[in-house]
Amino acid sequence: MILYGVHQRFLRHPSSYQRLSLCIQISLLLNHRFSGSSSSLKFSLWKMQSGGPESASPITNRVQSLSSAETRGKHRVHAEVKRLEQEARFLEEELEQLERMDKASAPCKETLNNVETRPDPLLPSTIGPLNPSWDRWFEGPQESKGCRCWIL
Amino acid sequence: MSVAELKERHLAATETLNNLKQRLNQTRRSLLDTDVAGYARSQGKSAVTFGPTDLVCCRTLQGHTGKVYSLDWTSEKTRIVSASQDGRLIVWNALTRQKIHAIKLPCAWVMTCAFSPTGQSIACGGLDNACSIFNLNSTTDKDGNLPVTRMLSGHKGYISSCQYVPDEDTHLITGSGDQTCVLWDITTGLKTSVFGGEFQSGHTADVLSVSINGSNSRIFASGSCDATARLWDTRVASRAVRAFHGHEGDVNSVKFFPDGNRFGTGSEDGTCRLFDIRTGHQLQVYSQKHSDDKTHPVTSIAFSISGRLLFAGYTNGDCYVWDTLLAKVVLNLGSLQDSHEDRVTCLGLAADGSALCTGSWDTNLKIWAFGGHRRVI
Repeated sequence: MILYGVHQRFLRHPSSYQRLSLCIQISLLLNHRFSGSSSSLKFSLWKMQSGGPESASPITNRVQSLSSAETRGKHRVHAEVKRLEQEARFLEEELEQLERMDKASAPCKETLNNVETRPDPLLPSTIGPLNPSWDRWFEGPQESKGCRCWIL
Repeated sequence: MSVAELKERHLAATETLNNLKQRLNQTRRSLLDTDVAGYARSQGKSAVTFGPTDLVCCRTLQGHTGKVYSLDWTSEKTRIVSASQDGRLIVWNALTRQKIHAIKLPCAWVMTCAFSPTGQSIACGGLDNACSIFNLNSTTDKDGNLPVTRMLSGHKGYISSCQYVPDEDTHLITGSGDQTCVLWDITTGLKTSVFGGEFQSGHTADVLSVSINGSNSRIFASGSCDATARLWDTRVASRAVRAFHGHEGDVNSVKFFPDGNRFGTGSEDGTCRLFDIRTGHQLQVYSQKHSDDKTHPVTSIAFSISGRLLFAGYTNGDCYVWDTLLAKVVLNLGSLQDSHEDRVTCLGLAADGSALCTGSWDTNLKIWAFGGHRRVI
């Protein structure tokens, strides 16, 4: 039932698919002790309990982890700045191209011409040639001998 | 560089980007001297008119026990594969309505399926973050299930959409919740190219749909939760050819126009749009309130073989038939006899354009064809 409800929600909110996928993956991982994040958690616990040279006092650990978090944060911001600057270069290129670009009427005209030169079986009026196989959907019995079995 | 200096640089870069976007929007608006409907009216074109029994439901494919999420036709115009919440793929003979295959999936959470160009293989994917390939000629296992021939693993998010590269059973493009699209070599199971992602310019939210250009298979379009569609060249994975702005919500569906120079989109904002790939212009908006005077998200779109008709499924169960040239709704399949009883989630046109298949939350698929008198111009 829980999965069913979750499933319904995922269909209504496409932008939460990724979060849902993560939730399902986490629940799957909980059943597999030696895969993915579970194994790294076990390793961290082992390190804390081992008393070896790499283990340090909890306060030092916290200071070290804050400093490394700050470094990671700087790297992320730096990467984001690079990405923004690259996007800006792309937009500048696009602006330059736009200076020489046709107005919309040109592709509109092309669209109309292309549409009117193709035969279309779903239109009441269309250019030829017609293809007799277009009407195969209305040949022979439609309702009899159809497969009505339910896939269980 | 200090954190403060970095933050300043970030602020400056953001401001530059926003200014550029504004200038781009203004320049684009100045080039929009008309839209398709305005031009068509100026040429004296009138809208397509359908009689009451012209477009009819000629087949109902029953058999799924859950919502239908995706469908695809073969290129030989008779078979359809569908994917459902019941965790199965069914391959149908659309003419006889018979089920040729019923494939139980290893992961029931399937979101997309596709037929290979030769019709011998099927691809599907979903919340397992992988694309599974089935060869329809394989021997079934002891439980009667078709085995997975190849698993394309590597995405870090769900598979929302997949399509085989035309004329090749060996390559496939997927769209994913991890914000990337991937071109796969099915023979090796490896990624050939990744479009977007952490270190490349691309979508900034889940990719929901992909569509390959039927006239030039190196070009494909993607639609995303970031409200944009993007055009890609498979030879250049590092950046999109162009981003297309205009929608105000998730772009749920993209489909190339039959002439290969334009593509359509359907969005959470309730509109469909037509974009030109060469100029980047938004050529037309297709928007109309429904019978309850509200807008409803578009779930899926398809063009007729000439491009004159745009079929759009909506979350309220409507399935509008738009005259693409005059931007008018000329029919609502949702109001016809034998229409679906729930939302239409997927649409697909037969290879010869003679029929449209719709899939729905009501667990059925329906085939629609023209049963009236055809006039030759």
